[in-house]
Amino acid sequence: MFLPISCIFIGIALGLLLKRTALPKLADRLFMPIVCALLFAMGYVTGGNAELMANLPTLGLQALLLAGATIVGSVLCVCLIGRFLPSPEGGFKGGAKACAEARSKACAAPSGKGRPADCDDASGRKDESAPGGIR
Amino acid sequence: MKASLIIVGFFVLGIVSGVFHVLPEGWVTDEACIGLLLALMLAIGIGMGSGDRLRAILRSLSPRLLLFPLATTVGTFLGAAACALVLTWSVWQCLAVGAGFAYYSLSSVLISQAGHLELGTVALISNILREAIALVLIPFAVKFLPGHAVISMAGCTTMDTTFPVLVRTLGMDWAFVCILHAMVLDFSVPFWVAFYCSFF
Repeated sequence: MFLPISCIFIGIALGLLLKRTALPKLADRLFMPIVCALLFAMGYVTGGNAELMANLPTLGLQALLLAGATIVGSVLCVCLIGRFLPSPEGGFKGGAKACAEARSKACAAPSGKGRPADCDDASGRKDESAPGGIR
Repeated sequence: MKASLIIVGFFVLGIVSGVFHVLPEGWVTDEACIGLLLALMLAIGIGMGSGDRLRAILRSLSPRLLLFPLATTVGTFLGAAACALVLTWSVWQCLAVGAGFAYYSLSSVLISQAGHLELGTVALISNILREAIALVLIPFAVKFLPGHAVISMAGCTTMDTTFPVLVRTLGMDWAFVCILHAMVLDFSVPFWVAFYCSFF
């Protein structure tokens, strides 16, 4: 796990240093093919593993339980401290401006991970293919 | 949404190919996967470094604003840890799955590369389900739950896949909350998953 995390930090440094080169665009373009190749490989190894395939329904149930529990957990925890959270009704204390700025910048970018899904393109259509939707 | 379907499609295609062993032996090797994973992490890092989001987060850092993503994180971890009581997986393994916050591609790949293919598959399905369940439940949940709680359901997808549904149901006023929530969680995913993986 040390190696992947170091790669992120090297990437952040490279991204900061080579911000104005073609590198960020290249990284953005390569993101989707790499994810697809990795998940294909993961699927291939999964499919080739007979024991794992036999357990797939069980694994699916476990996954459903985990998904449900994490959703319930976050809802409960957020409800519990809800009155301490800044909300649009109560007005934000700082930060809103910075975020609005970041958002308009993200929308201005031609594409890229994190581009808000509701950005209107020049043509007025909503860009659904933006890698912002990649999870 | 289209991108999500393509990714899931590749995984399913991989499973089918794997069942019938369509590729010659030695094509899908561990080394190749690790190489791809490192390339992916590098690409994610470059995106973080070159984008404006890192600076936006640092600028908007105020304890009260960060309380919201923090509450989602703590709640998610408590929920995931509780699953260890009934599942065969350990607490750390459940936490690693939960730490995906619906970021399924990265969490599942990281866990699989840590040597747990079964858990990686659970992480993939679980995080896809979190996104899907949130997407379906959001319109109903707004009737019963406060805005923050509705947003927290969707984890780090609140600035892309679930964002349009959230602002349509909660109102445009909540857009900023959705984006900050997702930005902070998004950045934390690789670190949390790697952290929990180091325990098993």
